[in-house]
Amino acid sequence: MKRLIEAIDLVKHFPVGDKKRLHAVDGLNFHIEAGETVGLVGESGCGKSTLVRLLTRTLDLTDGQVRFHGHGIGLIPARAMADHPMRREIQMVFQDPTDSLDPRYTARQTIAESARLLTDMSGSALDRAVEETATHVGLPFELLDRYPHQLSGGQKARVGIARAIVVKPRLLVLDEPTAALDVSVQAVILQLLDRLKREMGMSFLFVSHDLNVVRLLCDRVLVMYLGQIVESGPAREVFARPLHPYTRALIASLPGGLAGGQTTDADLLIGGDPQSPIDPDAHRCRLFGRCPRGVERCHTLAPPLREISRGRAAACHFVGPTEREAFVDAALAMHNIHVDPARRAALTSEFNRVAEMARLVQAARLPGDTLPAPQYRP
Amino acid sequence: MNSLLEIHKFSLEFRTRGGTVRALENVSLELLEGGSLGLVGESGSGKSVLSFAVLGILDAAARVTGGDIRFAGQDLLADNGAAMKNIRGRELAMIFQNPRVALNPIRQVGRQIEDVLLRHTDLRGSKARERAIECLSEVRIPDPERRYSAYPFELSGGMCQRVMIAIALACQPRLLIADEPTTGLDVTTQAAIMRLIRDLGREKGMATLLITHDLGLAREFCDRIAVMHAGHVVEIGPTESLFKSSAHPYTAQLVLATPVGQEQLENLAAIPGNLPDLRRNDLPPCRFSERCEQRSEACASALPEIAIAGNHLVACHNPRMGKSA
Amino acid sequence: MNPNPETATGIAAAFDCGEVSAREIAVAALERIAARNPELNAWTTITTERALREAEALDAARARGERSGRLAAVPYAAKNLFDIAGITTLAGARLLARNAPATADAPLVQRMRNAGGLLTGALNMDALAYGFTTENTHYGNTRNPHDSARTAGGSSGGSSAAVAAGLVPIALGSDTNGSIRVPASLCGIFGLKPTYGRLPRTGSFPFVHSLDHLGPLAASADDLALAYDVLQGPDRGDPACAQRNIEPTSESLARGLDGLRIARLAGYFDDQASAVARAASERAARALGSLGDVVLPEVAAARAAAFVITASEGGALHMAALRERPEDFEPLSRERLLAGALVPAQWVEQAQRMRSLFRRRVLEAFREIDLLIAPATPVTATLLGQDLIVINGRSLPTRPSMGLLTQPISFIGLPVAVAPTWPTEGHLPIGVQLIAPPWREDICLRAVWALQKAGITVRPVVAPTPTT
Repeated sequence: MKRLIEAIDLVKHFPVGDKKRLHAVDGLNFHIEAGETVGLVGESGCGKSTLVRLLTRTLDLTDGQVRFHGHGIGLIPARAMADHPMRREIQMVFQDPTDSLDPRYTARQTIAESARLLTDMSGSALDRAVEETATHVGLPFELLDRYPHQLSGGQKARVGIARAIVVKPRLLVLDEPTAALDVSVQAVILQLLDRLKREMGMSFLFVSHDLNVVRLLCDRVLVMYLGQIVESGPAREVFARPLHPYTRALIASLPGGLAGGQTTDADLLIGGDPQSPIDPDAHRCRLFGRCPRGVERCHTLAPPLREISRGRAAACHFVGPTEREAFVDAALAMHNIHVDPARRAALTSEFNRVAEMARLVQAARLPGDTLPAPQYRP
Repeated sequence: MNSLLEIHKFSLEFRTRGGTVRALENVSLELLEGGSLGLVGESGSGKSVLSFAVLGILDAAARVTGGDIRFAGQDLLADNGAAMKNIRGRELAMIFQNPRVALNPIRQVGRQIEDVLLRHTDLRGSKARERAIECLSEVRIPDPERRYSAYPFELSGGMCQRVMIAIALACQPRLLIADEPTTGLDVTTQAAIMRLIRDLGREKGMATLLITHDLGLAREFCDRIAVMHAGHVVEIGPTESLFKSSAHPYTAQLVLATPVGQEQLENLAAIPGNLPDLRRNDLPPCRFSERCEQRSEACASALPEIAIAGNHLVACHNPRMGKSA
Repeated sequence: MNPNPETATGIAAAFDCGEVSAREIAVAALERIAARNPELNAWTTITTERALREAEALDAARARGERSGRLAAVPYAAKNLFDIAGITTLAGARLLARNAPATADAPLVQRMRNAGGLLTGALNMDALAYGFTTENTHYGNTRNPHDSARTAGGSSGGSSAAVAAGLVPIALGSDTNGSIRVPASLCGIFGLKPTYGRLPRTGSFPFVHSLDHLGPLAASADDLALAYDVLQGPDRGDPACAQRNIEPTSESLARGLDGLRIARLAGYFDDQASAVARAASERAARALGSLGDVVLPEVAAARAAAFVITASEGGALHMAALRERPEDFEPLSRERLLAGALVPAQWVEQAQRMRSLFRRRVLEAFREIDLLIAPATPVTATLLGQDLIVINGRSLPTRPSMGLLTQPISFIGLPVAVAPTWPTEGHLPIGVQLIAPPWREDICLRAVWALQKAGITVRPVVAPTPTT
């Protein structure tokens, strides 16, 4: 798979007076592969919306990189984005279909306007594109000439999606696209999105606070807390076996639980308010104070996000190393070798590669007489 | 257990320029002392209007066209002035979604609790202050003495909702009406607030009426659930019975449309059609019948009230019997 | 006689018949190197003085009427893991930069000198020979002469770039898992990895003792055989050296392949190859009259075993330095070496058992077959800095995966030569491996000579070199 978009050490700080800075996004590393659907979950104030604006390049970065298809796009000034050719590659679907549609435009005009601004389509080609897209999102042609107030919530949501995909972006960012919809309509829109993702092959970044929706729609999930990613991994695995205490708390907080989840009330967050995002203590775990497992060490040493097993990472001292990691730690100690923490993940991944090779050797039929004889093809 | 809130064949209309909206029709339900009832439905189902009617805070366009609402045996619709006011302030309290808006932004939160105590109790001066701090402590607000002097903007959404609950519970009401109390709050905060409401209700023997669009929330925190659709209560029963053997087609579809507990996105089933326009003069007896897959000739006649089990009732001619959703 | 001035045989012949002096040849070569090396970064040290001194000595000897050597006046260079008297043996690693200069030439360098070769310098490589791309953080990346945005392959990437750019006709390299064959394939030149134990490794910096081989890279099949013949011979300094007598091959090249049973390796070698690589081996198979396809058992496991042994032995070799001077290691391979140093013995033991079983099975196959053909690399040269390659829809990390097809062969020490081919699409070459039973380098060399004769090793029409 090819990396479509990649964030490297991405940082966004907002000055809040008195030389203080609000750390909205604080050193994120992640990527989205071509055709992949990634869910971004986290609560209000965790930096989700800032991250979305950084990725869509409508907000300038403080530091770090954003790469799209291997090309750095982090330095495109947000104010230049409107006219930048990159703009059509990354499109957004907004939360509230009512607020995000211009009441003076019909559905057809809304969809066509997007295509006209971002592509060189015009005339009959444009008309055709609008109608094809309407078909794609299940919007009957007779609704195309209606104004937003003449459409239902679900129909407006479809217009919002059509407007985004009419330019055939490679990344679609969906910001809580079903939050404003009733449950009966939400189901239809989710299924529509699932179909679009399979048919159009574009990548989705699906921002949501609804873990059930993310679990059903996304291949992979990133969990954010106070500007940092605290856990990442395949969606189904993360929800079935959450590693980070914050992820566990999110799942334990869900009324009715989560299919396959194994959390209890003991996993719920304790205490009161979250830490302030203004100049947070770099040496303290951001969840400290609300975490049911917090200990002294969490107060003095912020745990880095590290690979726990293949494809899964978490930032917590208590998320134990795998047996293999424990072996590496013991072997390093035995040989009296110190590894720079920044290189520890690379070491784990190299060791995992050798382990995978050793597994291949083991899986081959080793005893001499069971090794299959050479076969000859004429 | 005694009945605390009884609503019997209650009907209500709104006169609007666009016509008469038949917002509630023949709504009946009962909430026992110390019990918890979830009133569940999508937007437009009438669940909030019903709670406003209980609280007597309907707007001028509303007109009660039938039925009655009794609280601890007293008729809430009979306008007997001061007595009613006392019931509504003291024995019956309410919390809303978006607590920041419901609180007075320019008054310290502790003082806002004291205001309620002054109105409904004999507590005065330092006693009132002590009780206000005690109320903050009861809703598990850390450092209540200091928070007494805080203004709403200085508190998080979750803390504001705790203050709202403290205000609501200050006079030890017998019924708490919670209208979407956690909508807009983070899921971890929602969990804390809902557990607080549940635990305080149990401690104090207070009944709760939870109004929510979230079926999962009602399932976790209520003993009984009433499902509303287009101004009708279509089904009411004990929580587990309602989920395990949903009798009304709408309830069954609502359960299937909710992602909670679903294994595959394909299993999610949308509910076809829309709510009927409640301004219509030709509304059918069953307001779901026009979008119902199990409709029959019988649906044209007046709605029955069928008991599935002792206290599990459904308003449907063709209830799904013994089937699980 | 019309000697080709770009080949070793041509240069040696021109010198021998007095057409040109060794000094003229040396000066011309050094000028070419000075002009191209800044772009290619193939040489890490240019031994101008030594080349001129050696050339003058040859001219003087010729003037005295002494018989000249077989590589008389042929400029060459050696991967910088060979000891060269007076130069620090770097093995591509800053870790070794503070070591004292070597006091004597490695035996293979001596043999080149004795045959009349003019040493032009030391060549760039992946640090400590752990890599297939010659991307070197401390000494710079070597660029592919056919496309300077791409790698020259590795770890003997300086060697392949030097020869492919026409700067020297012969270079010395080393091959642990494919480090001669991969760069030869990606640069479109010839290379030979002889049987394990054939050429002594004395005076070269080791990587994986049980897998290390030395060998030549060359511009033509004749040069390859000539260099190999010159390099042969016993040496007591390498305990793994088989101490066999010289078995000359040059004279037998033209014997052709009559009577040899030839087959193409399929199965794993097709699965791990891109369409271009498969087409190259099919084309070579047709040209050599292949009898059909052969599928060897458990090749993937054999390659995995080679990976485990490499990691473990290579890591163990540098354990002390990994503890004390981690900052001096190449960042691209430091963690790989460290991970290898921690590998449990059980994995290594199983890999060693796999090695003897696999060797036995492959030797059985050689009862029926004399020569096996396979692609040398899964793909053509990748871009510098490219982290992933896609093979048949799977994406794999570039640096370890370039050796997928070479690793199983060197793992059991078989002699193997690489001949270049030029796909019809694109501007980049890709090599094929010609694999023979142990000690039959002559068969490998006859096969590459036959391919050269068939005309498929030559770049069809020299297109302008794209520079990106």
